[in-house]
Amino acid sequence: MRRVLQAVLILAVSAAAAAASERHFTYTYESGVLRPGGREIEPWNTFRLGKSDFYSRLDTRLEAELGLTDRLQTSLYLNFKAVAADTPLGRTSTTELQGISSEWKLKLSDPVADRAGVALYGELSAGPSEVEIEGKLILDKRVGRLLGALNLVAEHEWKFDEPETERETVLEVDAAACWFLTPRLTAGLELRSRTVLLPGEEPTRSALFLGPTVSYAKEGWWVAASVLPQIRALAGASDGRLDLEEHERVEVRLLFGLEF
Amino acid sequence: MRPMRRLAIASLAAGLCVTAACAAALRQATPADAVRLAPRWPGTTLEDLQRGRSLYVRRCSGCHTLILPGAHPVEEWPGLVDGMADKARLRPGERDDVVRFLVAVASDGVDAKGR
Repeated sequence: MRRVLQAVLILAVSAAAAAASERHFTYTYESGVLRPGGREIEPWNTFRLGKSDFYSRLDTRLEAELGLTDRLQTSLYLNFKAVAADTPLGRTSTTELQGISSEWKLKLSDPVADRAGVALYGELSAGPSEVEIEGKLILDKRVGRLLGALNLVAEHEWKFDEPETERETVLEVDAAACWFLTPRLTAGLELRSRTVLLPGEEPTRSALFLGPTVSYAKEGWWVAASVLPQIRALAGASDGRLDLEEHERVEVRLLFGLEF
Repeated sequence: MRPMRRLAIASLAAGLCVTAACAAALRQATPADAVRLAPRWPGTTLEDLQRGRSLYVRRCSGCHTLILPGAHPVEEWPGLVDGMADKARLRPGERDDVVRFLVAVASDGVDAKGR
């Protein structure tokens, strides 16, 4: 009888404590890493809709994640892109394998045990037409039912499909907060500021996105989704208050995580 | 437009910092904890408890969000740790250190739920 009670208690604790690898936001990362030997598959889908002309894009990433040590995890991604857009030649659609990415995440402190969770993140992507490096500083804090996170992101891209190699620097600030409605279900808001710095005379493009985010987790799997409409351009407005040259009207992201 | 962006970023950063600064965290073990455990586990040292905290943070956070010791009654912690010790790769001595740390903090009514 005592063993049964103990098993029930352990199950209850497991349910009440969110899994370390689950994500509660879709753009904003948290500091947790998988346990050593822990493995997870994460399919990502991001829909981006609406520019100055017709524009529809689906980015799909398939991620395999592996915990290496108590503080370090690594991932490998396959990245695909499908775009339908109006061009001077009419409406065109393309689908392509963008390339592969290698991600590394180092946890420095814990969001519950320490004043704040801190992690460093690095990602290298390479494909037939572009190479990209990305770094993030991840901060998060869990207090009771409230979870907050802030990411400072810098990335640099080299695109080879132009007559000359084109370079682009992107600075991003992602912030999010959510409330645990139940131990498994969260609802919150996510804010994303993305600034694209182009070399030469090209104007800086910057946009602010804000929208709801929800997540749900069970033993062995989790899901997170967000809808982030662009709420205003911070630089380079092209259509009233919005930047629809570089950024879309709305971004919808859906993430799954599955332990294996 | 730049002031608005700065304002938004500053507000978020400030909010997170304030939240973090005010938040409860898992406190460090103290000599008083070792004294309090002596009747139950004679010979327990401050170093044992510090090692227990370190193991709890490193090993247990890989599987679930850490739980503050005060979230469960003292008598529940040994069984809870035993149920997850294999998955957390805790050897018997390490399991003892983790249990003693959690019991020490959970039995301290003042600090059990944070600082």
